[in-house]
Amino acid sequence: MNAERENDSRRRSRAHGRLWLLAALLPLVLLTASAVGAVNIGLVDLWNLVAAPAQVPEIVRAVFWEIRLPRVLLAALVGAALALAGAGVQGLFRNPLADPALIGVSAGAALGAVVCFFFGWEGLLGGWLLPLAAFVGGWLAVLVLGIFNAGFAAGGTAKLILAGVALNAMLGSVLGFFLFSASDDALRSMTFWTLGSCASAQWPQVVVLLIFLAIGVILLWRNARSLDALQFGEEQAAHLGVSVVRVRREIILAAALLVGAATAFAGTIGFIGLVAPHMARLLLGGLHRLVLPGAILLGAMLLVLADLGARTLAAPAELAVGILTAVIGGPFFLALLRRPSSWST
Amino acid sequence: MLRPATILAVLLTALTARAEPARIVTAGAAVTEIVSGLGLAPQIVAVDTSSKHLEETRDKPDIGYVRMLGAEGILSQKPDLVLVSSEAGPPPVLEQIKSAGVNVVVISNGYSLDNIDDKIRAIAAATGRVEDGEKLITRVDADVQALRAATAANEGERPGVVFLLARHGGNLMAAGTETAAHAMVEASGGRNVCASFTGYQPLSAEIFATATPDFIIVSESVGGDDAQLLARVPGLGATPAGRELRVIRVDDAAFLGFGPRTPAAATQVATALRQP
Amino acid sequence: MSKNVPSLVAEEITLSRETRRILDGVSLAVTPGKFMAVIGPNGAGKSTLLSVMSGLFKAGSGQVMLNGRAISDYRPSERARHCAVMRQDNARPSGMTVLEAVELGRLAYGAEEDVRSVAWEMLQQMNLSDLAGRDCSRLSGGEWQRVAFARTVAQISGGETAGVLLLDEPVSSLDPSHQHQLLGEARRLARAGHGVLAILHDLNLTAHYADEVALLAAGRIHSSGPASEIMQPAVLSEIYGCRVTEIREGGQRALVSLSAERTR
Repeated sequence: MNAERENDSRRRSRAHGRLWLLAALLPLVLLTASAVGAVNIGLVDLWNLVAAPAQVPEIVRAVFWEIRLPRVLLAALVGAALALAGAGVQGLFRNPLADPALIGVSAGAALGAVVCFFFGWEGLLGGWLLPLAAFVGGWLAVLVLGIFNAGFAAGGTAKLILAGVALNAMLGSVLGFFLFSASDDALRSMTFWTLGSCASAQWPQVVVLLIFLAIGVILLWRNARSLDALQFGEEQAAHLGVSVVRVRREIILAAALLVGAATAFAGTIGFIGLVAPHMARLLLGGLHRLVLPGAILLGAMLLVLADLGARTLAAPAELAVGILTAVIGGPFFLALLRRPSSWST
Repeated sequence: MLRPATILAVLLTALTARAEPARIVTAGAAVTEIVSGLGLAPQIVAVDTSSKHLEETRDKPDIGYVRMLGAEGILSQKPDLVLVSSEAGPPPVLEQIKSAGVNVVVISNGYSLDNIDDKIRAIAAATGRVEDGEKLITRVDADVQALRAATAANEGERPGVVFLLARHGGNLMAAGTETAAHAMVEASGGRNVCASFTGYQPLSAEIFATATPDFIIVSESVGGDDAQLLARVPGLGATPAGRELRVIRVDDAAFLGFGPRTPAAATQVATALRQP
Repeated sequence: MSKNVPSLVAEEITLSRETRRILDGVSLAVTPGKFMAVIGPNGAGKSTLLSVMSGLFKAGSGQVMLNGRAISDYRPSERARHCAVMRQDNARPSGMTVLEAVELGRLAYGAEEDVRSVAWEMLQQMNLSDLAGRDCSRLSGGEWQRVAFARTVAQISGGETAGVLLLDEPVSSLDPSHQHQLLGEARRLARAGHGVLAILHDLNLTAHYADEVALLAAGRIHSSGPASEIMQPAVLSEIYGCRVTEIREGGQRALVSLSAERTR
């Protein structure tokens, strides 16, 4: 009995230790990404930027404060938001292949952005119309899904997933219509938007996204235990005291906020929402009080590293970050899947 | 022919221009061609992918696709002037470059031959090469005059033309209205038979039921001989252009770029369109 | 709460799905201190009745009262502290240990109480301590059933008031020894003052452990009362539609159905 208790607390502290390790790795990744780039800064200048700004060339100061730092932070926030939304949606649907895209938010956001490009409006409102259109598009899609699911109350998740598939297909064909009728210029802009990029990062976007991430964190954290209980099935979770409909609404709301905001600023970036939560589960176990923070940290690190590749590998040219997320995350994920573990089947 | 807006732009750029730029980054084929035409090719330190076709810029660092630029990549080339055509982006990236204290000049792009002079004037002002600019404009204007003379003969009965563009994957698309190709076909004295749609559209045999081109214009980069080309497009063989194998090959960077080489390329097409 | 006051009462429950009537005027009371078994043929409406009594389904007519209050008036978390349900379809999560699964039985309670010590206590009672660190997805079907039972008991244990346990075929995957262990534990909880209702199929276990038995057939209560009255070969033969006979040996009694001979 005591041996089992000891084993249990050792196992728990191991999982917590790994989470803290991830938490310690994130600043290192951020620091590295801030130091490396097409314009060489290096660790000494990085220190001087804070300690003795006068010793740093003006161009380096401008690059760091106006371009690189907001970009690194935006990548971290977008990665964190996508991964957090993914963790919530996978937990809700009890489906490891679930992706936030399932509730239509990504397709809706893409449609909003494409409409913007179609009419040549992407520069309006000082460039803020494009993210706004993407965000509103994502929300409208989720709203439509909610209306057809009686406010996400009836029918259970199986019906919701099916409705999501149908909605995605419909949005996809509307999207295809716009792509088909678009002018050549607009078409090219649309294509590159859908590949995803953090190149447009500016401080106001970082602040806005930080606020959305905070709301998402609150909504998901307060439902972390309910998400655990949902793994027994929705009916059993209800017997355990989970207000299933409320939890479902809050998680979909959070996912729509997170993915909508992330997509608005960085375009559609795949893979992270699907894989970062899995990585977190493989490293930390299945309890959402560990999975949610783990997914945030892993998602942030993944996208910061992918973006680092996007801006340095072909420098001075840019690569599409959407191409690199899978290249960087894929091997890591496969290695984790191979690793024998005490709990995975 | 100077428009007030152009004069204003020229004045503003002239006022703000410092010493002649020593390190220039360009994006957009026409912009790069003009900068090169002003004798500033040695000062160009990096260009976008679409500008790599020139001999002078072939070996310069590549800042990538014109719509997907990165601020830091461009700044790492330590430019004192960034000259981009108006499709360059994303817009926040240009803002970021400006915020680093680098002069960014956006050269507006329009599907009109008159626009070429405006571009040259704006670039000449931005680079402090006004005299060279006027020389280039004189040359371009002469080419435009030659084009007008060449097309004058076609007035009245313009030959029907279909312009084929090769997209990635080798798919051929036909140019409708609101495209550079449409503007250039018309400017070369042809009549675009695909005026019923906008943009570039995939080809179907039905297009040629109503549109009967006398000529086919296609990029010289499209592989295969004329017969092979016709075989790839269903229905094209039955048109007058297909029966007679009347295919005109163009350097699309020159023909569609609305740069200094465009009027001459159009004159060649106009001459070809007069052949029976 | 005084003893023997019914704590979960179903009154005249009727439920239809499309045109089919699944429950038809069912009244049933789960009494503190009593182990009640519900038996009946497949499709009789037993699981549906359990879903209605636990407040998950709304009855078409009639009502369910938990401790004198309509169960639909309870918030899910409050309901969960008084009425614990073990369903048949319990998904087995991966990435969650047995101990963590049992801890989730205390989900409806505040964060300040010591969830872990309650969970350890349950595991000990169910002889599951050895499995505490095992991932739920690596348990056998029978082990998982015992874990689910421990989690369900954790839900109502240690409260000031007695709770209600609703168990849907809790021993369907267990070997004979663990069937006795689990039902013995359920009866012990009943003796401690909780109300227990279990849907069972094994006639001998029912006869042995249940204080009261309700026979459900075609959505109606055919008969109910003390186990000794209901568990009679004649009644059972009629209900199940096959011959059930009684064998006595050395003071022990067994109900068996040895042939598929139809009785109706």
